[in-house]
Amino acid sequence: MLTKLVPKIRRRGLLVLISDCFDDVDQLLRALSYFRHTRNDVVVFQIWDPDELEFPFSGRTQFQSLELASHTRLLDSSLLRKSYLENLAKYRAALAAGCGKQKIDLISCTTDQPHATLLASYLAARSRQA
Amino acid sequence: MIFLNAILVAGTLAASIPLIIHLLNRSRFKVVDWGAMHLLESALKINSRRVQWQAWLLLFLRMMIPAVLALCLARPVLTAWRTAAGGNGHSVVIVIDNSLSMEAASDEGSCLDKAIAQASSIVSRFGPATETTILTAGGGVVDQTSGATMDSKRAFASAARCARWSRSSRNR
Repeated sequence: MLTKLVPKIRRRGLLVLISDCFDDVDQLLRALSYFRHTRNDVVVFQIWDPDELEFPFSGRTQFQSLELASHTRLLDSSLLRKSYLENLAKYRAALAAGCGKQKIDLISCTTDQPHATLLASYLAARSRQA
Repeated sequence: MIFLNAILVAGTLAASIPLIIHLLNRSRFKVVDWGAMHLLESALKINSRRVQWQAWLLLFLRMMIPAVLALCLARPVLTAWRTAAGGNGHSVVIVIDNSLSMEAASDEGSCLDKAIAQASSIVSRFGPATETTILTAGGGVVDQTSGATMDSKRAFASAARCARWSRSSRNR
């Protein structure tokens, strides 16, 4: 979907992507690289639910996918916590490394933070640097 | 193995309590709306087998705790090591009267010789796992085997020594 946007942008600009980025990391970075190649600046605000970062669950838990109602997993959260957090760290590191290589700013924020304020702070900091 | 408080062995039935709790909990769980399913799936893919055997091991340990506690409270006593293959263990104590009156002669030798022969016959009747103690009770009780012995040859030798001891001590 992102790659379809590239020809529509005629002037150099700033692409602000506000997303959970829950997709294939390589595919996402490849799509963003098209914007970088057309000399656009890119900033990614990655939105997380605090529970997705901390995984505070214990005991038997049924995880119900927000994307697909039939996709559920019933498991003992306390046994899986360590692996989940390791996986999360690897995923975040891969995304951060990929963004860093393409000089894409990656800002992680949680759903309990006001995005408008974060965006305003970021743009203000960018203006000061410029 | 025997149990001194055998009735407490019934406490091992308490091992079923963690299993019942586990089965009841299977039907109770929290439902969470989740966006990062891909992170969960990849964690499960790597660790599914490990997570499963960890859960089973945890259940097994929880069941073993009350079972082992019940067995300990029943006070088990290991007796199997004292029994050699092919025979049930016995404890035999033979008391031989080697007082002066036993020197009385008969057709088969003195009464003491007959007593010693009978003691040897008794020792040979039991299996190799028999603990034998031979005491003489002539002038006082004397332990000829120096405590119980499972060595039948030593038991026979001790029985024979009874005769020599009584005669030599009287000749001093």
